[in-house]
Amino acid sequence: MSEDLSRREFVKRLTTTGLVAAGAGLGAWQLFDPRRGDRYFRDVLNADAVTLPSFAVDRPASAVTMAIARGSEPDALVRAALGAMGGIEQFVQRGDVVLLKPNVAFDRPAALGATTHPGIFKAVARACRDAGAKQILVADNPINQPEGCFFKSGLTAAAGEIGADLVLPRKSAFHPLKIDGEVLSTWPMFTEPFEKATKVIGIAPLKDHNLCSASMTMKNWYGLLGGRRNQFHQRIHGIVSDFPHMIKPTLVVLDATRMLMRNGPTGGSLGDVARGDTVVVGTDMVAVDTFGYGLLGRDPEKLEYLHRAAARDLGSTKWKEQVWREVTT
Amino acid sequence: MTLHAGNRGFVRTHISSFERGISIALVLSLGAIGTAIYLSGQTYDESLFGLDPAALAAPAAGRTPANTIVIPSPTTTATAATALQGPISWLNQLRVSGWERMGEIESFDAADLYVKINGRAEQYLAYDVVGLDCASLTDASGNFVDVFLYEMGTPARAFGIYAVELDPAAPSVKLGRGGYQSGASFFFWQGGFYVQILASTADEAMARSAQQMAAGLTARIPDHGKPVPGMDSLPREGRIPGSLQYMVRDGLSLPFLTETWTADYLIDGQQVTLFLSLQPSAQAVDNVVEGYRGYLGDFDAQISETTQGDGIALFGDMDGYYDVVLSGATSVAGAVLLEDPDLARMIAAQWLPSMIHGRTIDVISSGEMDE
Repeated sequence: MSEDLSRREFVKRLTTTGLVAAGAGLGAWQLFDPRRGDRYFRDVLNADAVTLPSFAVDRPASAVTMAIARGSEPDALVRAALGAMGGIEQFVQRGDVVLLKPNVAFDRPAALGATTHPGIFKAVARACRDAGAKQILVADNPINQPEGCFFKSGLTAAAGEIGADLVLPRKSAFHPLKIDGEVLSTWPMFTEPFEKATKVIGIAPLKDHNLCSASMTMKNWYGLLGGRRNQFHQRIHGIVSDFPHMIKPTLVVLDATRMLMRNGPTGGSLGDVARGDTVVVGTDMVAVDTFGYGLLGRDPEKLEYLHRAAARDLGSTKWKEQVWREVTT
Repeated sequence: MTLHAGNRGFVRTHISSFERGISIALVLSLGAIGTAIYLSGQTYDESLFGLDPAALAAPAAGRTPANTIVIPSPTTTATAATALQGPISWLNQLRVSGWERMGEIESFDAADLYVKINGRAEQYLAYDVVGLDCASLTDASGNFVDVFLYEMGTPARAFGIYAVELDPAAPSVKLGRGGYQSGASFFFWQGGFYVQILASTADEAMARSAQQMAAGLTARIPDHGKPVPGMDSLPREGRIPGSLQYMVRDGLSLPFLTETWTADYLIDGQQVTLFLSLQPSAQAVDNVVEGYRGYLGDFDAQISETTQGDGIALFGDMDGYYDVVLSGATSVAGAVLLEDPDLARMIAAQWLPSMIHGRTIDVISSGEMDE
């Protein structure tokens, strides 16, 4: 110690140093979080996460849960299928805001079967409007250039003709969604259109899929996920079977007017597309997809995600045991 | 102020206000940096934590990762000249009267191909796709044509993905190699490229325009015209049209079969799948044979093994199903899951040897293929 430093001065400096060190330690202790980084951010995400309400409609046990319409004219097919379900009025009432979720995943012409057919889309939208819907929203989240996908698939024009409002994905339109599924726990989702919607209808094309064999009404909801959703491809059956848990739509519509039989989900050649002349409407996605998979000429017993979902009581693969109708237009 | 000359010799007692200002600024800056780090740490940046399996894939040849520094070599001039003749240039040069490009040319590599063809990209990755360049053209009526140029790296891989997506019933057209038409859309492969020209409608006028675009590309995409190793080593006689396939790896879903050509045949009224796996060395051939031996063993097959010429012949009896395999100097040929043992022996004796020895004499030319 320097002899020039007085005792008082020494104590003063020591105390100051001690206080600063203690303050820094206290601050570090306060700020320290023992959680690992991934756990921490998962918790942050969960804290912000929202859940989707059910958009399903309460109906008696005797109500028809699935209707199959056969024919070639989209409007007649949709009207017939909805009629067999008991009428659109059972599902959409005056003043409802209806969100329609078509599959617009690719910037391909509708004829190639990779996207929802504009004719079927318009027929469903028209039925909702006739039932008194106040507003019809249309939303999907194609990864590549949403405007181009909606335009080339013919959905932009179809929405314009029917007076539906296109909701394009913007960064601010996504919010963490608490799913608590087998694979999906919390994940960014295109939630903005759901904030206004009182009813939700999924309209999916029936198509072959390179990774999960078929893309139908369940897989259609994949299109609302944000983030780097391609990383889920390794666990695709688990993801798809999470969707009936994640969302309870009012109705799902399977557009099998033409079916992409191979080279899905993008297709490319008209030779990959076969006429199906069928529309299926239902309240149980698992049942609808089980029937739809058969239209592809494949055995539903072998489609893993259907059975995963059924095992969790998220729907039934035994559609023939449900109340169903088949009509021809 | 006093100067003290203690152990430290000299102590400054006067600190100028300028120095104090700098000190305060530094301390405040440190605080600001700390605060900024803290605040940024509160925001979840998915890209820092998300795992993108595709990003882990080895960078494909021909496209340099963005974080790579390239030191030009004396031959760079030639390389640059080639790049100017690449797919983007070909798309830029597409000119058809009445058609204009809609938007920019889009380019993707193996890591982000999913952005364009999510769900389908894995099929292309199985063929080691290098990249995709695509453009859309539109006419005054709002019709559009999408042109996709998939760069596959080698002619065999271009053929491989082409064959996966081939519509065998579609009428063939004289475009590139294996050109065919579906509606007003056209498909072909040429050199190391697989080309799709997708039209929004299927009328004749649209088909004419799309075909002009296709022709413009066939004139530009380089193709040395030489035989593709292995492509014609499988016999043409008895081959079911459109059945020729090529797999980079996991041929016939067998992990040890790499660089494999397969085709289906009708032989003595029975449908038979023949394969030919090309290997770089005798050691690699031995590995394939060993892999096959193990596979047959997994099914408790009775294996008969003989030496034939320079190679080994395996005959596997899997309780009513028969596989025959014959190895050569740098290839392995075989037939799988035959139900008739006599047919299996006949194929082993009469078909496989020519496949083993015929691989170097193949010549194909543009438009000759039935695939």
